[in-house]
Amino acid sequence: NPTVLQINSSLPDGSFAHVFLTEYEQRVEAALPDQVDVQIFMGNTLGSEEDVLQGLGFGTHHASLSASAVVQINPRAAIFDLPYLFADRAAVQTFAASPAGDMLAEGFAGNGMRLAALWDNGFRVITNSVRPIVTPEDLVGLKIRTPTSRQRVEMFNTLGANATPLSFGEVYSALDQGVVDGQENPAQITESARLYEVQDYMSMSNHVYLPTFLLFGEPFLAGLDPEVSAELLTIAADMAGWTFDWGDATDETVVAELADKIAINAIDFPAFQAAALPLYDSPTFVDTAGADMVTATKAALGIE
Amino acid sequence: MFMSPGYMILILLVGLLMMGMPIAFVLGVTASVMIMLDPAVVPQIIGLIPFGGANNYLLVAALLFMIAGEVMNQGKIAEKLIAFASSLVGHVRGGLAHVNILTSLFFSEISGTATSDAAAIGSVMIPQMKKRGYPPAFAAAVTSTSATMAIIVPPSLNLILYAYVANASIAQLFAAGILPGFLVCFLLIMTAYLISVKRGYPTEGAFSWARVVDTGKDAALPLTLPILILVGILGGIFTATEAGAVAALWSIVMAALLYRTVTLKAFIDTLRIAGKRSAMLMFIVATSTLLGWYLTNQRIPQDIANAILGISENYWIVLLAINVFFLLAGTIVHGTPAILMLVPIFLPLADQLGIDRVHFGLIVTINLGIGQQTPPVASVVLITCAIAKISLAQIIPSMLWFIGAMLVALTLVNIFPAISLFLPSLML
Amino acid sequence: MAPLEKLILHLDNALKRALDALVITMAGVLLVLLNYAVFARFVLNSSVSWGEELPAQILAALTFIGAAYLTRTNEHLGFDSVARSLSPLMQRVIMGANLLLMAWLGGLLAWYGGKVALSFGTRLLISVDLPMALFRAAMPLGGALIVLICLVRLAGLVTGRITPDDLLPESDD
Ligand code: NA
Ligand code: NA
Repeated sequence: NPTVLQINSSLPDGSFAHVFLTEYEQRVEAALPDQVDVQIFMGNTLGSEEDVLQGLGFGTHHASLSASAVVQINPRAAIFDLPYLFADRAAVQTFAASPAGDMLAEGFAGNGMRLAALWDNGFRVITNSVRPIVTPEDLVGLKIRTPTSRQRVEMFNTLGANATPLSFGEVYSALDQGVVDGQENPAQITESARLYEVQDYMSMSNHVYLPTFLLFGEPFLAGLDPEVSAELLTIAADMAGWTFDWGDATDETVVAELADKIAINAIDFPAFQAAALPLYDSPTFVDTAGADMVTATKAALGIE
Repeated sequence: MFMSPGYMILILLVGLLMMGMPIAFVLGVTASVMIMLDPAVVPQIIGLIPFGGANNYLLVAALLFMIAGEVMNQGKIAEKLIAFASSLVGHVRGGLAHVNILTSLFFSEISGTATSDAAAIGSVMIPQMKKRGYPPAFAAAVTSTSATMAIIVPPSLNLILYAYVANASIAQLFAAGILPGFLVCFLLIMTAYLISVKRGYPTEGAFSWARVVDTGKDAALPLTLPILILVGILGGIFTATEAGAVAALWSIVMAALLYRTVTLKAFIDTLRIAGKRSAMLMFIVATSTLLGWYLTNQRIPQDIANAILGISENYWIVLLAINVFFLLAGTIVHGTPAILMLVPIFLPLADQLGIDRVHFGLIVTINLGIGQQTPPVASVVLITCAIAKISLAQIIPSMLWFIGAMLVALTLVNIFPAISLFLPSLML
Repeated sequence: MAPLEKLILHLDNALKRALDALVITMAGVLLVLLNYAVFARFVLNSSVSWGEELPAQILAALTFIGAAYLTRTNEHLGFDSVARSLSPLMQRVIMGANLLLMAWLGGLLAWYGGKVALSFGTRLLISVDLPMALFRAAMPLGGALIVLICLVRLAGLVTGRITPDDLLPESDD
C-alpha cells in the first residue's frame, strides 16, 4: 500500500501550479514507485488556503502549493511584496540560494510546516479597461482589484490607484460589470481566466514577482520513512529550476497569444521605481518582513 | 473499515434522517463518524473545515435577501401585488387562479424561498378563492406550485447556494433564472385556464385601464425592489452581496418611512428571523462542508461520475439520468442540503459532458423545485394545505396537472439551453 | 419546585436571551457593515479594505452561535414524518439517542474547534486589526452550548418534563 501524499492548491485546473504539481507527481512516482501515491487537489477542494495552511501543522493536510496567503503564517514572505526587487527569474533563484532564502525558510519553522521549494508563479502585470498604464499618473483614479493583502493595497494606493480588495472568484464579473476598472496578476491569468474578454489594456508593469511556496506539514513528514521524506523534499527542490525555465518560456508564448486579444504596452520603469520608493520605508512592508530580511535580500541581490 | 465508505455514508445519512435528527446534525454526525473511524484521517479536521465552509462572503447575500424579504412581508405587500395582478388578469376565466400565479411571479422577484412565497400569498388568496367557489384543493395546488417560481426567478436562495458550491457567477445564474421562471408562469397560467374553462370557474369583472393604473401605483413601490436587484446585479453596478445590502436597506426605508408599518420592535424581529434562518442555512453549509471534505478526500464524486459514464457516455441518456435523480432526490431532501450535498457529486459528471455550469444550475433548481411539490418532504405543499384546511391526500389530484406543466418547462429548459443561457449571454 | 431546578430554568432563560441578543446584533452589524461598504465605494469613492473578509468572518461566527440558539428553540430543519409515526416509547428512545449524538457532535466541534481557535494565537485578520481567534472562538463556544443544551434536554426527556414531540425538528423549508 503506497503512502498517499495529498497536495492542495488554491489555484485552478490548468494553472502554472497545476502543471508543476503534475510534473512533481510524475517525478515522485518515478523515483519512488509503489511507495508514494501523489494526489493533487486544485481549486481549494480540500479547504480554504487559510484552513489548509493551518491544517499542515495539525496533520490534517499533507502539503500545499500556496501563494500570497503564506504571509499570514510567515511574515518574512512579505519580502516578495516589495515592488521592483527582482529584476528577473534568475534573481529569484539567486535569492532562494542565499542566506536571505534561509531566513525565509526558517520563518516557517515553529508553524508546523517546512518549505520544500520556491516554484515559479510570475511577474505581475496590470490590466484595465480605461487606458494604457505607462506612468504612475495613469493609475490615478482607477479602481484596481488586489488580493486581500495589506501590502498590495498600500502599494497600489501609494502608486495613485484606488485599491479594491476582492477575492479572486469575483474578479471576472467585477471587471465585466465595471465594479472595478482593472486588476493585477501574472500575464498568464489574463489568458487562463479569459480576462481579455473584459479588459482592453495590459501594461507590463512587472511590479512584483511572487513565487509559489511548496510546503509540507511537519506531522506528515514525521510519519514517513526518513528516506522517503528526504526524497520528496529533494525532488521538489531539484524541480525549481525547471519551473522557472518553464515559466519564462510560457510567459513569452502567453504574451504573444494575448497580443491579438488585448492592447499590450511597456511602462516607464524609472518612473514606477521612483513612485514605489516610499514603500521601502513603510512599516507595512519593512516591519512585516523585518528590516534584517530587507537588508539580507538587498545584499543577496547586490542592491545597495 | 468493514464496508466501503460510500455505502456506510448513505446508510448513516438515511438512518439518522429517519430518526428525526435535524439535517445539519445528520450531516455533521455522519461526517464525524466516518472521520473518527478512518485511521488515515486526522480528527482535528472537524475543528477546521466547518468554520471554513461558513466563512463565506457570497453567502452573506442570503442573509441580506432574507432581511429584505422579511421586511416586505411585514409591510403587507402581498395585498398590493394581488390587487395589481387582479387588475391585469382578473377578467380571464378562472381569474383568481391567474391572479394567484401572477402575484407569485411578482413576489418571487422579492422572495428567495418558496415557503415564504406560499405563506404570504396563500394566506390572502386561498380564502378569497374558496369564497368565490373554487375547490380548496385547487386553490392550494395553484398556490403551492406557483410558489416554485420563487427559487427559479432571482433572487433565489437555491441559486446563491448553487453559485457557492459550483463556483459559478451569481449574476449569470440570476440572469439565467428569469426566462425559465416566466416559462413556468406561462405554463401554469395555461393549465389553470384550461381547467377553469372546463369546470366553469368565474371571472373577476371586466378589464379596466383605470384599475390597472390605480392598483399599479400601490404595487409600484414594492416592485422597485426587484428592479433594484435585477438592474443592480445584471446591469453590473453591484455584486450580489452588495445588491442584497442595498435591497435590505431600501426595503427598510420603504417600510419605515413610506408605509409606516415597520416599528423598531418589528425591525428587531426581522433581524432575529433573518439571523436565525441564516444560521439554520449556514449550519447546514458548515456540516455539509465537513462531509463534502471527506467525500472529496476519498475521491467519491469522481468515482460516481466514472461509474455513471461507464454505463453510458451518451449526453442525453446521462442528462436524463441526472434529471431523474435530482427529481427523486428533491422529493425526499430539502433544497438546501440537496444542493450542498448532491451538486458537488454530480458537477464532475456535468463538466465531463460539457454541460454549462449556469445551465446545470437551472436544471438542478427546477428539479428540486418540482421535488418540493411532492410528498414525503413537501414543505410548500404542507403550508398551503394548512391554509386551505385540507389533507395531503386531498390536494394531490389537483396538483398533478400543474406538476405536469412544470415537467414540460423542465424538459424545455433541458433541451433548449438558450432558455437559461440567452440572458446571461447578453451580459458580456 | 426544587432550588436546582429553579436555577436551571433561570440559567436556561438567561442563555436564551443572550443568544437572541447575539444573533440579532450580528445580523444587524452585517446589515450596517455591508451598506457602509457600498456607501464607501460609490459615494466616498474609496473601497473599504475589510469589505469581504470581515463580513464573512462575522457570518461564520453567527453560524455557530445561531446553531446553538436554534438547538435551544428546536428550530433546526429536519424530517419528522417517520419519527412522528412511532409509538411514544420508541419516540422517547430515538429522541434520547438523537440528543446524545447531537451532544457528541457539539463536543467534537467544541474540542477540536477550540484547539484550532487557540492555534491562531494572536494572528490578526488580513484587512483589519481584529484577532482571528475572536471569530474562530464562535465554533467551540457554539459546540459547547450545544452539548449543554442537549444534555439538559436529555435530562428533561428522561424525567418526563419534555415530551419527544417538543424535540422533533421543524419540517419547514
Ligand atoms: Na426569487
Ligand atoms: Na418533496
